Amino acid sequence: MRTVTGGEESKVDRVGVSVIVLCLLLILGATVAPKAAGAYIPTLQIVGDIENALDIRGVEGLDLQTITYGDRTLHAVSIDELLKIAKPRSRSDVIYSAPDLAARVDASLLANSYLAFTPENGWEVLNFDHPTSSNIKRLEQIIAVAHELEWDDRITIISPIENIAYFSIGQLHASSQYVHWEYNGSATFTHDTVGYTSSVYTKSPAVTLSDLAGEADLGRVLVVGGSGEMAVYKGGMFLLRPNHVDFVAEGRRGMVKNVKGIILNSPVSSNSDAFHDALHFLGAGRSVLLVILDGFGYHQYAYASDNGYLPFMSSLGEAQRVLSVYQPVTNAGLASILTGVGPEQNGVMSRNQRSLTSQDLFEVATEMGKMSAYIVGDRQIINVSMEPVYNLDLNQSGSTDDEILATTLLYAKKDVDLVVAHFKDIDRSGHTFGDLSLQTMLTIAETDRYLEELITSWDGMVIVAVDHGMHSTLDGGGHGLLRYEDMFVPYFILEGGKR
Amino acid sequence: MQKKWIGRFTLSLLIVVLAIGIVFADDSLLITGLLDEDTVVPLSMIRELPQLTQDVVAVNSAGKESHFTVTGALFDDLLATYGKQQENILGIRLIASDGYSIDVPREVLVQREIILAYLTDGMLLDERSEPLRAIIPEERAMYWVRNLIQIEIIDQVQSAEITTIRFLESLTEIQPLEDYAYYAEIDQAINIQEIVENLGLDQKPERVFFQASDGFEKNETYEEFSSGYIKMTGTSAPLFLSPKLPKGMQVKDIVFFTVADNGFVSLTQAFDYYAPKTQDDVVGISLAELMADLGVVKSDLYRLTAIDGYEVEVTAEDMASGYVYFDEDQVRSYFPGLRRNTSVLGLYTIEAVR
Repeated sequence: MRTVTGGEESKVDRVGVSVIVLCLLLILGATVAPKAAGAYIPTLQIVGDIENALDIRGVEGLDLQTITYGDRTLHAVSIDELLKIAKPRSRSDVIYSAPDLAARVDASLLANSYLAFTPENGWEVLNFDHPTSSNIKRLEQIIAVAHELEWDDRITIISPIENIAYFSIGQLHASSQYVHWEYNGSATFTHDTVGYTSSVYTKSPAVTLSDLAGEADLGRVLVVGGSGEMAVYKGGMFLLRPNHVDFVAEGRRGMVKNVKGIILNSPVSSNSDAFHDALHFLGAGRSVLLVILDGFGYHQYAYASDNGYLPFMSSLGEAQRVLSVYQPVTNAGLASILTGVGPEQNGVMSRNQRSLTSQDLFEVATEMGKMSAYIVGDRQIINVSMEPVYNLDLNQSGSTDDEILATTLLYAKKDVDLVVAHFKDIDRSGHTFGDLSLQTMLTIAETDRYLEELITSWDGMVIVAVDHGMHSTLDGGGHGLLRYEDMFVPYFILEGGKR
Repeated sequence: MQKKWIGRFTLSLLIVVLAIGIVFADDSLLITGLLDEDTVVPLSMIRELPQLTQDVVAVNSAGKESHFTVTGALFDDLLATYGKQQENILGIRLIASDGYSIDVPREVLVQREIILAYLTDGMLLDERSEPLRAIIPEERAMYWVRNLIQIEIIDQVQSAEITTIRFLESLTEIQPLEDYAYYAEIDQAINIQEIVENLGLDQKPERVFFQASDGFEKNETYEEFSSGYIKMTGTSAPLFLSPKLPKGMQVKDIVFFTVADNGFVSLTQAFDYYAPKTQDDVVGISLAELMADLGVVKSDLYRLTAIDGYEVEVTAEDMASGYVYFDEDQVRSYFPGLRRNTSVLGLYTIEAVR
């Protein structure tokens, strides 16, 4: 039935060499010229839920083996080997897609599946173990569709109260799409005063917002990009790139690259309001205490409030539900609170950045002639324009929050206009025990007592802001993902002083 | 004989002119449509602009990628030497010496940098590309024009010509104000939708320009602007805000904003922004200074109208020495040496009489 040349002992070397060669030729996008001069070989794409998108533009450089399939002898490359280079993000199916036909098979069962190019059939799949109906000819794409994906590898649709849906890139490639004609420009050659003009378009597979989020009233919609940018949706298309999605706004007025998700019914308010609100009160001659709680999602606040873990804060009314930033991690959330702008402007979008590229609250307060203090634990997360007041765990309680409380109370008695205090315990407990665990609720209750002490001691305005939320994981809690538990946080503005 | 001599002389002159023209074309870039007259930019001038070296990837129509490093100057920097900005250019045409040209639309101009490259991979451009090659990173190779000899400015944003100044303090006397909750206060605000409806604009502007008294400047889209309010009382007034806009997009302490050919001025903030002048016991803001900043169109005559409908016309010469000030709480004009009837109490508009 079949013959594959090449001995077993040479297979490892051959695979190793072929991976290197293919990496060079395919990942770098090199064009492999067809052997036969003048012969056209169409591009075959490997797309979907993969790390490395591949464009195969020729046969040279491929690790070809000689196979016999039926009465045909062909030079072919192992699809399994190609997928090893493409690196599917998880266990996947692959879809062999031709213009008018497609076949879906399990990617883990491709040991005897080959890809060949012949002048009569173009790119052609030859599956020795599968039914012959899977042997697709004139193949254009191999689409990897993951069975399960990490949250961050998906495109997620969320609202302030739920994670609504998610899509993988492979799923989108395998679904019905529009072909979006993107106008690139018109060039002209002028010969003898006659202009010969041609207009060029890029054709991209695309999906619309309603394809992703349905037709219901979606409220204020934000498109969130991988670098933390958020664009208010006012029309546009989601373009399917080989292994990611870009959003292009109507009229080509902006693009969000590497879309991570979409937020429906998003509030206008965000934790960056803390910056503007603090400056407003300082400008009005009020002193401001800005308390930053780390890792306290709105759903945790609601749960704690409903179950009696926040007696003091609950007595002051309901918190506002505001948006954090993407990525919802301490660096980026803190930067948003302290600069009043998002990651694309302040330069802090993940745990990897510490330096701000825009003015921080302390700098502006100083320009206003105000005295400030920044009270933190034993280290500072991002670099700000003033030296923080550090607090070590002197009583070895396992936390520095009690020391931060004591220091902040001391500053409440000083002639300081702006005090910013960053409490970490809710985040620590959430990571260790889970966002809604009893231990975390008890930590929230302890923080509630801290807040009562701080607010009643402060003669001025108090703002309570949160950097990011927290979601449940198998071993506790985590954050940093585009999910409602991480992205929506409580926010308070209160009058300080005795109740 | 004389005719023959004239003919030879004319031919020689033509050859010399052509030769000079060729040399000139080789060493310069022609820019048309930027200023009133065509501009010849010597390549030496482009080389003196801040130098930029960037790795770029050209993608041709077949999808083939070519990677190289280009060195050159930014078109925006070149424009800056003529007091222009790329973001205010609505369209350009890049023209090569072989007749190839491509139009670069506004969408590309506002998003991309245009490099006028004179080196590739550290080497002088070859014959196929010299004297300059336009490089627009992230756009297709069709925009990367070799043998670039001319840039035609197809259209550019014209400096806004303001024909009418409107004083916000007087506007609040004739336009109903709405309650607007701002922190713990209930302030009074003008609904911008009503302002723009009353203006009866034939064509909506793309953007609205704000000038704040702390020097902050902002261009806001008309769409966002028209959905908002101008808060006229309380903290930071006049304050542009909207329940639909994040706090970071608010504009505080507005001195003026311009909508199409209308300039809306807060005299209160103008007193903070400009240095008030004293003339004949009147402490006011110079109209000449205010009109220059707003870009009010030149006219022989200006019509001043009060909120009660009273009108008076003042010559351009008198306007140049005029002031606006507060008389009690009302806006009032003052022109040294002119009759008292030009001192309009409750001044609402100053309009250029065409």
